[in-house]
Amino acid sequence: MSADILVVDDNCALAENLAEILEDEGHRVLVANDARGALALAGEHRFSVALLDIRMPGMDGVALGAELLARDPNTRCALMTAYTADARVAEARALGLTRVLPKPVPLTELFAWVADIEEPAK
Amino acid sequence: MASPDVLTEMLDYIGFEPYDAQLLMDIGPYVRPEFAALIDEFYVAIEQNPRAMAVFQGPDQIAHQKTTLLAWLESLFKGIYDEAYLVRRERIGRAHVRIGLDQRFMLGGMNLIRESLHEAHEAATPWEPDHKLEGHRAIDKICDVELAIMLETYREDSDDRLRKNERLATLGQLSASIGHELRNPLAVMETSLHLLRRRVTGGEKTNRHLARIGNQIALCGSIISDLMQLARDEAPQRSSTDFVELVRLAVADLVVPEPVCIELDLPEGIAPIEVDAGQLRQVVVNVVQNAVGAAVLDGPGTVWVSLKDDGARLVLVVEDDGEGIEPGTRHRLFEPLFTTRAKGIGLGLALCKSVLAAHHGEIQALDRDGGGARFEVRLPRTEPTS
Repeated sequence: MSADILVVDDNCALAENLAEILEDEGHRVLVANDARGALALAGEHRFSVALLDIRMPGMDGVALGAELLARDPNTRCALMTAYTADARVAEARALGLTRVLPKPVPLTELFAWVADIEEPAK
Repeated sequence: MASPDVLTEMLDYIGFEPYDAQLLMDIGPYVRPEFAALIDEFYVAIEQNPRAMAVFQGPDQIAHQKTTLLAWLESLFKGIYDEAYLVRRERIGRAHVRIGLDQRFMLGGMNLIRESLHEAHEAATPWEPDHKLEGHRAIDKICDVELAIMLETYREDSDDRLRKNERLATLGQLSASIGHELRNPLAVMETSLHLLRRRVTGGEKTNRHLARIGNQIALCGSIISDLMQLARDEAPQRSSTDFVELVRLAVADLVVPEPVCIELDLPEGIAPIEVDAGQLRQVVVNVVQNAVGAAVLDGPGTVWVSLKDDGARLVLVVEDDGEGIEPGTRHRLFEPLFTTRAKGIGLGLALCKSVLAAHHGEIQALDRDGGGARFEVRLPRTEPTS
């Protein structure tokens, strides 16, 4: 079974590349370049996985993750950041957003994580 | 450097008058015969304190210091306290700062000398009590002037450090933000490369170039990591690490110039250690690279790298047969932006120090038996729980 994945990054090229890579892996992926676009998509689709850049203009990835979780507690969110010592990372953990991927994104780790979500422990 | 006004101001503030200068000049001939004994006593006191002793490099330097101290005492009673006097005194003050003599030892030393001068004057000067008391006051005043000049040079040094720290803080912020900005384009390149590898079914040459791009992207990533690490941006991410293998690979990847030979002495069967492998690899690279840089300076050289496990910690020793560490630079070697080399900006050893501090370990610069430098890296096995 494939996951419905939402990728949100204000760096359009990176968002598209990640989407294409995940599509190659057989997933259905939608892309947004800011929180507003992401929330619009979340109004129309259910996502099992969301990949969110932390630093974005407007609402950041941490606030967006919290909002997505509030709307659908089954969505699994991972934050992406070029700045792993960012104070927002610690705040995100407090909000239950514990999965943080550094940039450049370690693809093997990403694939393993997504695969894990698809086949939850029995 | 302080201006002559500073000297006048100090003399005025302490209440040092031409009459005091005259008194000191008159006392001089009586106390002068006591100087040799005074100097010997002074160094006996210093030798009893290992930490004060540590800044002296052997008997030659102590002999030299004794000569300097004698000249200092002589001029103390010459009665001439002008601009040239101030300049000479400042030079002596800066020499103390340069060899890293702690301020409290300087204060203690000044106090010892003051006491001895009072004793010598009391015993040797054949004056009436009132006149003698004036002499004691003059000795106190000139010692206060000396102390003020000394403290001024220590203050100059601390101001310099403060300025440098501010510069470093700016550098740190700049590195962190440049690193951040570069990681995004790198992430795009890396993901595009990943897609290209899947789309392109090229021959051997194409694959070689794709691999090359991948390696260079990884190299850029690690350079950024170094910079951001130094900017104290990243806490260590510990994982179980085969340290022997880490050292072996780090040394193997070094570009070592022809006349330098690296001798490895790595034991087998050392249990893995919980460290940030990336950060510690950088430490090994930097320390060995530093040793290679020292060994290469005068013709063929050797660098020895050895590792020991004493149970509680790993000790990595890196030695070279280069010129060794200049006494005056030892305590500054791990300061950021401090370098004695034409190449390099002085971040390597500073990075080592900050990585080891984050791992509750330490790095020390010592002398190698038989000449050259010896660096010891100590890495505790367990992270203190406090």
